[in-house]
Amino acid sequence: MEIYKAVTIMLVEDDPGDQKLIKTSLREQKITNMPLVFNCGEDALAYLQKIKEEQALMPDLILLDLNMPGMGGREFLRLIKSDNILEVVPVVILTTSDADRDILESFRLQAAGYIKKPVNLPDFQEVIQKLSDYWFTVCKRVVHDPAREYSESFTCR
Amino acid sequence: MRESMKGEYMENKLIKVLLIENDSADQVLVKNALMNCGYNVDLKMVPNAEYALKYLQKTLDNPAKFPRPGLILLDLNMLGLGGKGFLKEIKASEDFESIPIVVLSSSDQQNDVDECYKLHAAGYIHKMASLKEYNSVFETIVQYWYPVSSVI
Repeated sequence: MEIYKAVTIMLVEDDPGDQKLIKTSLREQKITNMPLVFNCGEDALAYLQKIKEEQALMPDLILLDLNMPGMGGREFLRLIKSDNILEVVPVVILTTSDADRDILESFRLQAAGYIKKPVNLPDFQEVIQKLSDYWFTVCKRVVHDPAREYSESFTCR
Repeated sequence: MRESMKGEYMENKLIKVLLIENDSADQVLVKNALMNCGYNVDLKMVPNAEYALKYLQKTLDNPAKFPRPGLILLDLNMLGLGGKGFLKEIKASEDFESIPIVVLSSSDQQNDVDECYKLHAAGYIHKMASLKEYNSVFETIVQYWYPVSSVI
């Protein structure tokens, strides 16, 4: 039996080859064998809106490609980070571009990491492992328990 | 194998870190962990959020003398503006909003964690006691952030 981490990862990526590399890396590094995969920002956003309405479990981390048809990664990131509920979810950019302009713009929009896509599987596994070490070993994260409200609700009046 | 890899990282793998920490024991622990993490860390330490804001202002006025940090490590519990006040201020500032802020806190209260992510912290580290843990934790943090830190 394979043991995976108790985390939900959303992958927003339009390239089938990259989807496969990322899914394989997540599985082989024992992080998750069932990421939520979306081909475009529009579909991922619709799914997140539905989760919000139904108060279902939010993903623990979003891996986001920048260059996709339609709204693209930047607009998706901007919408997530200006949404009162969705903004707590860390969004890590995973892209072929390492242009300074793309990196800076992503962090201005409050990305929580930026990874240039490696070209082969071993390198992909290495960056996914580092990502996992940071987010799932070292960092404490938001607990997405639907029964729980965000911290403002704890304020005593 | 591991040592030779660390040797490679040293070449130009410079990361500029601003540590905001008022506890002198924690300052020493974090400093030592960063110095031993296998990267070339340019560390600037300030004891509170107010000094940090003053320092960041100087990075705009005189970047040659006061280099802009590519990563901010922020203690949560400080007098004055405090960690959360600092987070709010930086993330509302056009000049500095792009700099990732990783919170270091002795609190593992879930509402502190949630609130920091809501303020767009880029990580939340629960301060731990042992030195060995410190070293590996800070190695992981630097490994994750250094590739982009010179750009932001």
